[in-house]
Amino acid sequence: MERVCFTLMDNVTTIAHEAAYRRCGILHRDISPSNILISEGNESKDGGGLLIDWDLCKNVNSTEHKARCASRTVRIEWLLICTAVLINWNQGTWQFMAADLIAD
Amino acid sequence: MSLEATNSSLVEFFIEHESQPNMDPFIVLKSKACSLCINPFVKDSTEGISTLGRMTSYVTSHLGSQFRTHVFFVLIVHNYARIIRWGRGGAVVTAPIRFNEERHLFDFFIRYNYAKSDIRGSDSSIRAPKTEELHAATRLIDEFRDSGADKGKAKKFLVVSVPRRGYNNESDHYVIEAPFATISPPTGRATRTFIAYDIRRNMRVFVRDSWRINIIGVPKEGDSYAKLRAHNVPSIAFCSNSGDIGDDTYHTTQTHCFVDADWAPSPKPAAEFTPHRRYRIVLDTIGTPLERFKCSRDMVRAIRASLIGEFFGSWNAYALPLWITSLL
Repeated sequence: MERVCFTLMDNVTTIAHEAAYRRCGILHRDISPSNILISEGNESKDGGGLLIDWDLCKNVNSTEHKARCASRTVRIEWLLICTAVLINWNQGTWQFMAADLIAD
Repeated sequence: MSLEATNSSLVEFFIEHESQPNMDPFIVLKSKACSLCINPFVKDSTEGISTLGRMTSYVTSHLGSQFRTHVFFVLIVHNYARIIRWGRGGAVVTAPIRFNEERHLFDFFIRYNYAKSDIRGSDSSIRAPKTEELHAATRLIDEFRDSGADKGKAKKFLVVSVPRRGYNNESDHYVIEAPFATISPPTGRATRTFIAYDIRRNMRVFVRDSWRINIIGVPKEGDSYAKLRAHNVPSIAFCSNSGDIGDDTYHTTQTHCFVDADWAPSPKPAAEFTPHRRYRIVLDTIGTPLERFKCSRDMVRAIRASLIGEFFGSWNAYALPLWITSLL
């Protein structure tokens, strides 16, 4: 039953983030409102939206641990910029990060 | 000098003067470091942090309003100076230069005066548009502006180049509006986006200029788009061109190369300096920012298309907003 459900989901998955993961093994890793655009194109084709900014994405099969640690978005509050280059930040678009990553 | 009266897009480099020694944000090397500091190179004092914040705001404005690979900054504190090289990967700071006794500061100014534009940090992939390019770009970009305030407003335009995919030594050129300074931090990817005019194809496109993470395990965005396209992933913009810009000498960040240098402070900074590489990508699909939705249905539909799986496929676009509202 589980296999049937997953097969069914895979067959009908049409949406960007899940399709990227299921079909290509790509994780976007920087989902935030600024990376979602309203599409003015063909709604039936793109569902009315676009997922952009794939420059921090990662192949889920990648064994490079460093990529996870050092490559996430640096989104630093204005008053703290001065030390951004000099101390070790837990990086990420923090408002949208998973709790585990913030706690890490 | 008031920052409001300063046009950062015209500045070659900033010189900051602080009359009191305690305003130096950095410790003098060989002095006893503060054992409680995360990084002993930075002074843990209000005055020092204040100076560092001010310098950073100048550099943010400088890098943000121009196309620069790096900028130099001279900090004068009382009777000595420091020369700082700011790039997208961090900053390299010299030891104090006693300019009344040593000639390094004067050597710097003389060498800077004769240096090539690449060494100064100017981006060689930028040029001014020709008249006919300017007319076409103004018309196409103006058509796209939905704001009455900006429509028809005179803007400064520049031409950026991107290596043409599949062709050696050939580039495509795009007319964009000149960038303006934002509060984005000076280090990091420094992503800037533009509605642009594609000169070769005579059409409107979306150009994204950034400094990509240059480490193993993080693929180039253009390659990711190609892979997504090959697997028919929906709700993905069409990427028509992408590539690294310029050469590896000036369009690659340098700070991480000096962490282990003999003259670098010890112990080493706790930060892991991430190397970056200048990169541009061109998308033929132009979307509207999510916050400019005209009705809640547009917004929810866009989020659904970007994120949510077909689990919600049987929900129509009117039921989904109600469902999300109930969660809020």
